[in-house]
Amino acid sequence: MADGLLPSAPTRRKIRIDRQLPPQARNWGRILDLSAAEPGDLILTRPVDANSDKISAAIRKAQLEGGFALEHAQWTHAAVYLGDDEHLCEANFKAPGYPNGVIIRSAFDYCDGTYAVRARRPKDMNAKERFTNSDWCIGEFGEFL
Amino acid sequence: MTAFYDKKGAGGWHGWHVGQVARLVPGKLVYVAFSPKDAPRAFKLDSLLIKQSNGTFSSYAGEPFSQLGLTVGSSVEVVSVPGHPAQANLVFDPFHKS
Repeated sequence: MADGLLPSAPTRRKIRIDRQLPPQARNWGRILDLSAAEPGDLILTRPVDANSDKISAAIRKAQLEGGFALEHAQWTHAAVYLGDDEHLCEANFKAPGYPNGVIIRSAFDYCDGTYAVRARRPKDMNAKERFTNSDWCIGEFGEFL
Repeated sequence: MTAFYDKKGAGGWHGWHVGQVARLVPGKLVYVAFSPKDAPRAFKLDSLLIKQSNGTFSSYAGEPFSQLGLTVGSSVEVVSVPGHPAQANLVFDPFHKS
């Protein structure tokens, strides 16, 4: 799983969603199953086509030059899962429809068939300590980086 | 009253649970704490029901939390639909003084 969950992975199950989904997820027809994730877990993403995004390519290059193995350097964006089966808190800019800075957005924004996704959980923290991660991130909501 | 959470084991909420609002994220979610030793749980706002003065319930419609009197520390209840433990609703009673 070093390459994460790829868009080509088989569908695990079909579900009915009775709320609005981001247009890209609606068009692609698949969403992430976050039922095993908990507040404070890290959600890492990268474009499947490593050269499709200059910023991601620059981040990957900097991480490789910084000594990270490709297995780790390939992940170019991180967000914190908030625990409601959908939302992430992340620092981003030029995200369509969002202001620059710390934002809360749907994890399903990444469900358009172009991103690989990986979830990480700090192994030395319990659930309450991990919650403080998400709580801190929410406190930064709206801050400009 | 029993208060336990078994999301992974049994697939959802069972019974009736009382908690306190730990964190409000306007437009997104509510965190509810059920015990001091456990991490708060997140609820989407589309699961939030507001109890009316005549005893009926209405779905949360995007009102400011302050207008409803929903603040950090407010008591809320989780009520699951019998036979559908994954479909739990978060109920706030603005007329209940705890």
